[in-house]
Amino acid sequence: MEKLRRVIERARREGVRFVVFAGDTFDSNALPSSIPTEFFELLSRATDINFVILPGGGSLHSEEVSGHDAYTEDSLYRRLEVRSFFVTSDNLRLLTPEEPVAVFGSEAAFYGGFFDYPRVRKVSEVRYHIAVIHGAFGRRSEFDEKPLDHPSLSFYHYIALGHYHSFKRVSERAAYSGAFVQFEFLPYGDATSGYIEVDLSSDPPEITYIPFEDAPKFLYLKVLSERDLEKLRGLDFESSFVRITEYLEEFREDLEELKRRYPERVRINEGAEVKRDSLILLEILDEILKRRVPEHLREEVSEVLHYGLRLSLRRAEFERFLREKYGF
Amino acid sequence: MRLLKACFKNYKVLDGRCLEFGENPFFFSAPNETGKSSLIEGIRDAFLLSPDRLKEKRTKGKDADPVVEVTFEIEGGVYELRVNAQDRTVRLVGTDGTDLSRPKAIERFLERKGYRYFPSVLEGLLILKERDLSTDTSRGLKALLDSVLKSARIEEVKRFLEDMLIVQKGAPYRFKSRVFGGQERLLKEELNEVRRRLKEVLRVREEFLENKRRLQEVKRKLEELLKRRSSLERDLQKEKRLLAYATFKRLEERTKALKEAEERLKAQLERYEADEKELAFHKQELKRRLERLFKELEELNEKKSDFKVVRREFEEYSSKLKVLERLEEVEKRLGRFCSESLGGLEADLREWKTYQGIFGESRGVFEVLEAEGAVEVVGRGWVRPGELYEFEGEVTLRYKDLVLKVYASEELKRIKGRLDELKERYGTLENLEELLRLVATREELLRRIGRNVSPEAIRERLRHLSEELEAERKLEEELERNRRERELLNRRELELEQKLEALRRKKRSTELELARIRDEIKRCEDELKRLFKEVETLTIGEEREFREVALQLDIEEFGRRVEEREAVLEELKEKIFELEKEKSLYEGLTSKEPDEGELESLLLRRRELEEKLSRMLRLSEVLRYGLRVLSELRQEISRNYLAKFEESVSELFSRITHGNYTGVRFEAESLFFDGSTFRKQWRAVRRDQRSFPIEELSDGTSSQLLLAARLALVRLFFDRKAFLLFDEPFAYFDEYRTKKAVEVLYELAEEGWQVIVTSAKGIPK
Repeated sequence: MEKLRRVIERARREGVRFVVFAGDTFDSNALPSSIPTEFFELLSRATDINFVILPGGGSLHSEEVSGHDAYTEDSLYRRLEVRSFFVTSDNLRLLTPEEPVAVFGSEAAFYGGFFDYPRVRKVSEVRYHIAVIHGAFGRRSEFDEKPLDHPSLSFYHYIALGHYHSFKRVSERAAYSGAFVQFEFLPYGDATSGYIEVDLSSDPPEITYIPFEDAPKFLYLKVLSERDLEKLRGLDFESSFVRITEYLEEFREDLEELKRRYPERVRINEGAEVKRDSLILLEILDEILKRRVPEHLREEVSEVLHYGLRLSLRRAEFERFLREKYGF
Repeated sequence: MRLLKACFKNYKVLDGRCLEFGENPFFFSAPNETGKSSLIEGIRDAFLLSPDRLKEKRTKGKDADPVVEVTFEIEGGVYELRVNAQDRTVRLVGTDGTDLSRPKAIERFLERKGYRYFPSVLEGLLILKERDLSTDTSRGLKALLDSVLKSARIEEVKRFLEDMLIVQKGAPYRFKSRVFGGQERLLKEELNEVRRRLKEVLRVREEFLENKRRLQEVKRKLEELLKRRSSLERDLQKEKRLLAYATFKRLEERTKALKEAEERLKAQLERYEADEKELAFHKQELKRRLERLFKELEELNEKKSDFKVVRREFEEYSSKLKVLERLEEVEKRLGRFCSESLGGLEADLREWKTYQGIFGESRGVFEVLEAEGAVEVVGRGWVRPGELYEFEGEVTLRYKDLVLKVYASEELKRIKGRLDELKERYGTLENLEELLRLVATREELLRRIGRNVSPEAIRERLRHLSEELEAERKLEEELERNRRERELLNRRELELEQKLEALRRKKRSTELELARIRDEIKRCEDELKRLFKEVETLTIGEEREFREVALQLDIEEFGRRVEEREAVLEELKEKIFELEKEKSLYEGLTSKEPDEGELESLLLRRRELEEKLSRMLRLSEVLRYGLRVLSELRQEISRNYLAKFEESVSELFSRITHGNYTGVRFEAESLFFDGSTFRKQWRAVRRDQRSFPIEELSDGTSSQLLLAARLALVRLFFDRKAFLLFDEPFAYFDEYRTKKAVEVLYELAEEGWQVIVTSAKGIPK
């Protein structure tokens, strides 16, 4: 909240007109109401900035688990105390499948898309048209990403995307801002915190990622050489959380030593230890993982396979590992 | 690559030892615990390029960490690799100027020289332990493939994942819809229950919050309305007092004005009564005059009835005179026939008409037989000789000077005479008929007046009667005068009646107005009495304030306004009443706070369950992808290595067996064999083209095959030859097999492989 306060103060100083939250603002619909209430109170007080909020949600298992703040029947956005903010504060607008468009005079119109392109009519006589979409978009159709060169997106000046929790510029007019503040390892890649600034006055819009240097970083590392080990040792463990996904067996002692020194910061995946004679196989395996497994599952699939291959002949232990890792 | 020398400092039992590998094969025979295995381990450690790893291998009793130096040759270049655990450095120096000090750079150098994955291949393939050549072929191959390609492990994990995920094996896979079956179902059931309870708690809570919000709203509205009510009541009170004062004053004035009007009306009423009396008197007078006229009229009418007989006689004589005059005119027209009787004339007429009829109906005909020219039918035409002429009655014929009268019959000549007489007497038949009508008229007139009436006597009588009728005319004039006078009096009487009626209406109206005014005066006085009670409570200040305002006040308008405001006040009171009811309702509904603790714990539980379910579902997704990756991994490895491996094994096996065997044949499209597949699907092909399952090979041939397979695997990664390190390869061999195996090693050396063998047993030459 402190960082959000800082960003809002800066936005007010610089005359920013709109702040957009493109989903997954809250990590569950089962949060106590005090959390969203505090959040929306903060936003509603900044009356000179307009806030556009889109519910999020995970694309996987949506029927059983809503995932983040999906706009389900029991969505926290439907709670009375949350709903009341959108009724009483003119500067807060929630985009939902029922009301997917928010128009701010002749200044701008925001169009919500929910794991799909916005299916709404264009508002006339508005200077800027901005799509706010939650879901997987990009060029990788093998991971079920929808392309952003779809004709229905051509009239938007900018497409604010949410879903992937790390900054990612997808086209010259579209970007994922990534997580505002990371609290955990991402299922893929390094997790940094920050937001993006979009200047619509230039064409194409100027998109700048502003990272929080003082926010915790959640990093994945492989220690397969002396150099990797040196890099690991040189990290600032005050703000870094490291998960070792692969290491060569000869570095075991060094990593254990680091783990003893920074118990909260260093974590070594089960099955991360690699014998030299396995490198040939791992190289092929890594290639296939990159090619076939979506980013959000890749590290987990890799960890499970590494561990499985290590314990292949001890089924019960492998099963125990899976149960402990997934906690059931 | 060929090893030239290996030197050790502080390394296990080899401290201070330096070995040169001049011969090929190089046999290092020594008793146990003298460093044979350490030599091979040391060479391997050197190529692992990890100084830290050396530390743990320090010679017992030594203070300093180990240093290992290995000298080798590649394509004429000599290179010295030094791994120093003391200063934790690695260095490769070559005669070609190579000088590298980073492990990654040294690995890349080896890769450039054709030794890709050298440390891995060294570890997995180039070092042969004591059992590697003696184990049974299928197990040995399986272990061999697994050591580099992890084939067995991949198979095992794949099978494990399939057991978990797949309902039916074979392509395409059919995945279980619920990987975690009952556990997942229980989890979902609990989650649904928590959600249901949560929904209920949230609904109750939401209702509570909504009711609380409504209560606040009702309280706010109520407070507002109560304030409005107080203000309105205060204002209304004052306005009502002002209204009472103004009304009182206005009523006083009104009462005064009404009393004045009452007086005026009373005077007016008296005037009307006087006028009414006068008009009644005039009316009486007129009645009397009319009665006189009626009496006179009666007398005149009696006189008039006397003249009726005279008039009747006059009319009778006048009529007679007219008949006589008509008779004179008829007789004048009859002239000489005046004395003719009606019967004689009628007989003549009948005779005439009869003769005329006979004449007309009689037909005659003549024929001119002979004549000079035509005979004239007078008045009708000409008839020529030979012609017939038909005629009616009579005809006159003329021929030259001859004129003939011809009759149709003799009777006709007689009738013609009588007709001529009648014509001579009466002229025409029409004259006779006219005479008949006139005689009939004369007869009728005479019948009406009698035959002996004298016109003069009648005219005399008529003169006398006319004189009598003159007196009647005068009487008529009298009657007319009487009638006109009556009409006049009647009109005047009617006018008088109308005036009287109008006066009475006015009087009645005035009486009504007077009664109304008196009623109003009564009401005003009553109202004044009532208002007086209010007005006498006014303070002096109020009275002073109201005095001037009351003068300007439109009381009706003000009264309406007060009424309107009273209605507003009533409405307000009703609303307040309703709101108070609502307030107590919401107070009741919000008297008990919802259980936040339960909500929190349900939310927490839901989150836990969702996360657990999410992890479970995620794991099944991870496992599905894992299975796909492993399947692809198998295919990739088979695709990349299978064909080359088979070809390579065949070639090496043929060479190692001096052509006794020409090759091996895989009968499965995969390098991933389980035990039985190895035994059944991999066959060795003999020179005579007969093939045998590898399990049936002799021990020696089996060792040769294992060696060939190992070298073939090395070839998959290296395109050059290297050194092979045999650690006690003959430990489990008898003399014969040892000899055979040594032969193989010599053959390998001849092939170009560097062979380094350590053994506690003597090496047969």
